[in-house]
This record gives sequence, C-alpha cells and structure tokens, in this order.
Amino acid sequence: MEASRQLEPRLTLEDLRPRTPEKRRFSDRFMPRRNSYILFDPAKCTGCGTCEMICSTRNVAKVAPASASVKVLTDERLGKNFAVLCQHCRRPLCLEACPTRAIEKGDDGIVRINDLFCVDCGLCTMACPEAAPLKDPGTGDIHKCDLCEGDPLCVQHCPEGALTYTRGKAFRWIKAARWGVQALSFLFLVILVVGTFCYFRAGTVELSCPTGTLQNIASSGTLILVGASSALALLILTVLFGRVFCGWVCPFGFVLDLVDKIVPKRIGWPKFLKSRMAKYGILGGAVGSSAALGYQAFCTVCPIGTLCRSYGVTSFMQSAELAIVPALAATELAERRSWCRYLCPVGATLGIASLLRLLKIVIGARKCKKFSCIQCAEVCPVGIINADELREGISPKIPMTECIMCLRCVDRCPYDAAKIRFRWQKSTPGEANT
Amino acid sequence: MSLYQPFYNGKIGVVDLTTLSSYTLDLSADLCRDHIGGASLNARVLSEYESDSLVFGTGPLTGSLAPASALLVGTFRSPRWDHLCHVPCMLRSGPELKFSGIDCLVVRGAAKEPCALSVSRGRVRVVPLPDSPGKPVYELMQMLRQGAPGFRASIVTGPAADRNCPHASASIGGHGSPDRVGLAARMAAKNLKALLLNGVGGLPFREDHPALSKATEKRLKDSGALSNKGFLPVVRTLDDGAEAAKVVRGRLGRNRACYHCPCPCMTWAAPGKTGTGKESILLMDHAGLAALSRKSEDALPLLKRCLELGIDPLAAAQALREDRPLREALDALEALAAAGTPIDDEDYPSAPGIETRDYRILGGGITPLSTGRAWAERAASALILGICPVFMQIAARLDRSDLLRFLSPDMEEVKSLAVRLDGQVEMLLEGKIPEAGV
Repeated sequence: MEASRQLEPRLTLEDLRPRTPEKRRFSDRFMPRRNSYILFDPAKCTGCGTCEMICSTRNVAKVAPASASVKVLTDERLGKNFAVLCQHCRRPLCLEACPTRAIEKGDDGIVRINDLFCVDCGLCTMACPEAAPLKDPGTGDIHKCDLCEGDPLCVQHCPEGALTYTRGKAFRWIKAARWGVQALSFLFLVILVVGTFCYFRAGTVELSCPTGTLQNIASSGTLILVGASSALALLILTVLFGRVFCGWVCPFGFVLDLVDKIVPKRIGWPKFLKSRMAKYGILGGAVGSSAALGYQAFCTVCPIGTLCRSYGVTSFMQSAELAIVPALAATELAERRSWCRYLCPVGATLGIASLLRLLKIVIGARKCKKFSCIQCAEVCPVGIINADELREGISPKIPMTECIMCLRCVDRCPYDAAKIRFRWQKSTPGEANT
Repeated sequence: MSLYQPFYNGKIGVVDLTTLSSYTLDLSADLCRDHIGGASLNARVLSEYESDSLVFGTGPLTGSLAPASALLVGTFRSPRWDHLCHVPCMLRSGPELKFSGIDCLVVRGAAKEPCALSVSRGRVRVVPLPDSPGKPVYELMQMLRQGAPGFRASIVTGPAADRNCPHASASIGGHGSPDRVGLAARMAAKNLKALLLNGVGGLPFREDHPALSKATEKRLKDSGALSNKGFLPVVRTLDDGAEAAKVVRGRLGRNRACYHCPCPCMTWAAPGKTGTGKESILLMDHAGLAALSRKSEDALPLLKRCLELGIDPLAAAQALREDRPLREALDALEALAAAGTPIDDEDYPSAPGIETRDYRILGGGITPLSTGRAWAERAASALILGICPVFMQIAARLDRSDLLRFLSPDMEEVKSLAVRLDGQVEMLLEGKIPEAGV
C-alpha cells in the first residue's frame, strides 16, 4: 500500500493551474482572431442599472446589483453615465497581477477568473485600468465579466441598446484597401518597371525620389529645376495627406509588412539605438557624403532603390544589391518597421515635408473611455501612440512627422475615437460634447 | 397551494431616535398578503407606532425584475391636513433599502442632535451630523460622501427644512423629489438630516422573471408607450409645459432613468448663469419646472437654487412675482426658505383635473399625466406595488395584472391579488391609518 502510494504521480497546485499566456497561432498573423467584448455607448446609457441587476442574477443567482460584474457610474457634475466593463484585453494586466494565476485568457479571447484558485485578494481590481474585476461589497468575492460565455445577458436586457456585444469588425475596408494599394505599388514599382521609384518619366511627366534629388543636387553642386520639380510631387502628396507614401505606397514598407507576418518573436533594440532622430542624421550624412564623393552615395544602398532595381523581372540582379533588402528586412526581427522608425532617410525627408501637412490623426481618450482597450497603440506599426496616456484617460499626442498614415488605428478602434482631422481642428473625438 | 412570492426580506427595521437604539422585527407573511406592500403596508405598520412616526417602505416588486421597480415610499401623518401622506422616492432608493436587508424602516422619536440613518446589511446605524444644519444640499451630499462613504442612495433635507420652512422638500440624492406635503419637515422635526442606503445584499428571484421582464418591455415598446423618452416629452404633456420646453431648449443633456426603468423621464441639464456652467442638474420635477418657467425665463438657475435650499419648486414658483431679475428671484427664494409661513394658496399643492385630497395623499408631486380617478388609482397602485408612479402613467397600456404576474405565475391568484389591490387602493385614498390588527 505504502509503495503504491509512492508511485502515484505527484500533482501540485501549480500543475492544475492554467497556463497564463494566450496561445498564439501562426494563422493569427494573417487573420487575427477577433477579440470579443462589450461595447458601451455612453450617449445611450440612462443609468437604469438593468445591466447590473441582470448580471447579478447569473453571478450569484439573486437580484443583487452590488454583486454584478458590470457597474454603472454617474458623473453628476457632467450628467453622464459610464459603465465599468471588462474589455477582455489582448494583454490583460489583471492576468499578470494575479498572484495565484487564477485568471486565464481562453482561446476564445475571454478572460476568466477560475474560482478554484482565486483567493479574493483584489490585486486584479487594482491592476486593471478599468477596475473591471469588481469586489462584491457583501461577500468580498471578485466578480468579473465572462461575457456569459458568448451571449451576454446585459446586452440582451439593456433597454436603451447602450451595450453591444461585438466580436470585432468583420471586414476592415481600410486594411483591405491598404494591402491592395501596397500590392499594386509593389507590382508597378518593382516588378513591371525598372528603377521606377528613383526616377520615372512618362512623356512630359517626371517623378523622382526627393532624397535622391537632394543627393543629386549636393553631388552636382547645381540646382536642376526639372529634377527638383519632379521630386515635388511626392512632397506635395505628403503636405496634403502626410506620409501616405510610407504607409501605402513604399515597396520596401510592403516587404517589411509581409516580413512582420512571419516574425516568430521580436528581440527589441537596445535603448540607446532607439532614436527617431537617427534617420535625420542619416539623411544629413547622405547629402553630405554625396557632396563629398560627387555621386549619390546613399542611393547605392537604399533598400527602396535596390528593391526596385534588382528584384523585378527585368532587373539587373546585382548580387551585392540583392543582399541589401533581406539584410535590412531582418531589422523587423527587432521591432515592427524598425527601418522606417529609426533609419529611413526617405521617411526623414517626407517627415520634414509633413511639418506642413494638412491632416492629422487624433485619438479622443474621452470618446473611447476604455483605457484598457489600447488596440490603436498595439496596431500602430511605428509605435507612436502612447498606451500609458490612454490608460490614464489622456488623449495621446501623435507626432505626425513620424506617422505613416497607414490608418490602422482608425480602422481598428471600436469606439470611433481615432479620427482623421485637419491640423487646425482643435477638438478630439468626444470632447466637443462635454 | 399558493404561488404568491413577494420580493421581500421579511424584516422591518425600527429605530428610536430619542434613545438612539434600533432593532429589527420579522415582517409577517400574512401582513404582506393582506396589505400587499408599499404605501399600504407602511400605513399598517405606522398604526403600530406613535402617530408622529415616519415609515419608509418598499413594495413587493421594488428591486425586482418588474419594470421601473424603483420605488420607496415615505409615509407619515400630515399635521397640516390630518391624513396620511405617502411620498414616492424614486431613482435607486427603493432597491437600495430592500437590498440593505430590510423592507421597511420605522423612525420613532426625535434626536437631540442632527443625525443621519445609515442602513446596510440589515442594520440601522445612527450617524451624528452636528455640522450639517444650514448646509446647502450639494454641500451636505459632499459632506456625507466623505463622512459616511459607501452609500448608494440617499434621501436628504436642505437648509429650508432646518429653518422649519413649510415648503421644504426632501431631496433624493440631491436631485429633488415629488415631496410637497412635508416629508422633509417631518424628517427635520426628528432632527433626521439624511437617510443613507447601502444595498449590498440581494434577493432570490423566480426563474421566469427575466423573460417576463423582457416580454413586458417588448410589449410596451411595440405599443409605442416607450417612444417618447426624456424630460421634454413628459413636460410637454402638462398644461403649462410649453414654457418649460422653451426654457430648457439647448440645455438638455442625457436622459436618466430610475432603477430598471425602460422609459427615462428625467434629463440632465446645464443650468448656466450660476457661475458654475459645467455643473448639471437632474430635471426630475416636471410640474415644478413648468411652474417656474411660467414665472421666469431663468427657471433652470432658480430650480438649481431650489434644489440647493431643499424647497419645493412649485411653492417657489407661486411665491415668485413674474419676470423678476434673476438676482432678485434668487433672493426671494432665500427668503422663502428662511420664512416659517406657508405661501398664500389654499390649493397648494394641487393639479388640474385631480381631486386635491388624492393628490396630497400621494405626495403632491407625482406628475399629473392623466386626470381624475384614473390618475389616482394608477398612482396608488404603483405606490403599493413599489413601481414608479410616473412610469405607470407613461406606460398606460401596462395593465396591473402584467405587474402582478411578477408576484404569482398563477392567473387565478393574480386575479385575487388584483381584487385585493383594488381594496388597498381604496383604503389608501381614504388617507386613514388602518386600525391595528386589521
């Protein structure tokens, strides 16, 4: 008897507990799983508390609004209602804070509390920027929304339709349009015509790379008006719409976006290398070296230029140039669009032009009011949306010289809080009504 | 076998302010069955105590999944008219009292010092408030939030009640109330500044209640009863509602509903002109604002002042002369709040087309959306069942049996309950204290 007992496998509490991180599938990179959550519309909420009441009937089998997983708060000064609701974040802070690993994020995206392991310490309520796990004032238990396993009662019973259950946007037309434009640009600039981005001429129309033109002027020492005017097209496009070239047209950007889909794990850059000013230094260096050497020095290693020159069906296939694109695309292993963020002198030129831009992106934290959502910050490829500010309820200031106008944030925001505005418009979404 | 299931804890809390003691009693099932609840049960409970006692009670549906189950009723004998008065208190006050573990609270005697009663987890606690007299309602609310945090609903009195103004009006969470018959004065006489409710508990419900609730709401929606939401549609139905609609134009914010009400009749508004432009007030008293609007274009700042002082806007409107400058009108309100004499109007409070005595018995402030006996019966039924009386009128298609089905699934029992409810409505509108033991 004693011997057989010793042979039994020893299960510890650790073995029983769910693994915390959500399993990521490779297919998620191309077709991300839609995150389920409940959308709250403060304009419709009347503060009747039906959601609290009906939620408690499921939580504790009683009508006990204090025991609900949703809470309606009223700001009497502003006369507005707000709902405290779990957003089932992609990276839940409550999950990381839980000392007993009682919180898990399932494959269905729902963040749940495993009552077996929860010790009601309340750390999750402190960690959550929404304070969405709610401590029952009567029993001390922690209640957290589990979306009623896919059919939320609060949504069904809300008399004003202020709550909507969503599994995310089914079709993101901006995303589809961007991929379409990027693919067409790649086809045109890289595959069909040789050297198109650097210099293109069709009849009397001439277009050229502004950075290449700057180097040209520096190396030749003369201002060629035709060349300068041909570079103006891209600059005018940038003044009108911001750095849309980088987000929608650039063939190397397209390659980086594709590489991003297959990067297994990012290793990050050391902090001292993460300077967005570096690309302006490289631009200065490119112009200076061109002046010193007497030829367009940077163009020989420019990944956009080499991609256009060396990878098409009619390309030169120079072995040295062929290596540049994969070498620089490998920077994607460190951070998304690392090249665009820190190194690209073309982006720097367009960044300077975008100082005169007409458009800007604004994100109204008041409109979203879901500090734990931060999907805009997560999808931004150049990492210019400050998630910490959003978590504090502050509308983040977006540096438009860095923004590549890919509109991922606008496309992704479930609250319509990310918008395109003219630069002189002061209001951010949600603030005009207050 | 009876399937009657009232939504009750079965507890009565009794607090004696003279001795600062409190205890709880069991609420007998027979008493609930005979008197159903709410105002009717309050009257019966009051018969067991001194005539100057004050009873706050809930109906059998208060806090339940029945629509607009928000009601708490304050019952007392009016010294002015020598009959019972039942003041409805909405927002979340009813459910919070019920979820605090008691269904009915009897307040006896009078405290020596100003105090508040805090009800939570089936217990009643007396909280001394020595610095509260004379404080405007908003300041008092702030003081209470700091001094006795955690309460989720409150009924307070303002400086007008402290100064024995006969037109003092109790205020639900600082937003005013339909009290025009002296609930605030009765509270002030007991030195009771506030009733703080913290319902952290809950009550079991019948399995079919969620579906029944949804079906009732859908039927109301389909009938078009819920199409006009907010303060404006309701105030427009009043005789002098056009002026009020003009006054609030462009100043209205979002709608606000009482507990589980599918048809909000209140709206937030920015009063402006008071130096605190961003602060909102909740427009709850339709008739009060309509009356103020008749006297002044600055009805919203005046209403805000009324709420701060804790006086009835209808009385304030009657005391004001027409088209006074705002400053003078505000001073007149101060004078009214400080005066101990009633306004010179024998018909106050009254509503056109409604028997004045009925109107006063039911608190004198329920928005008169219909007239005659129909209004009185619907309002009285609401006060007995624990449903908002304004909702009962807005949802005119809502039959009483629709609500009684929440008490019993058996249609025969529903019929007998309806008969009993009719009897209780009759008794309620007589305004008499039922004899003990009845």
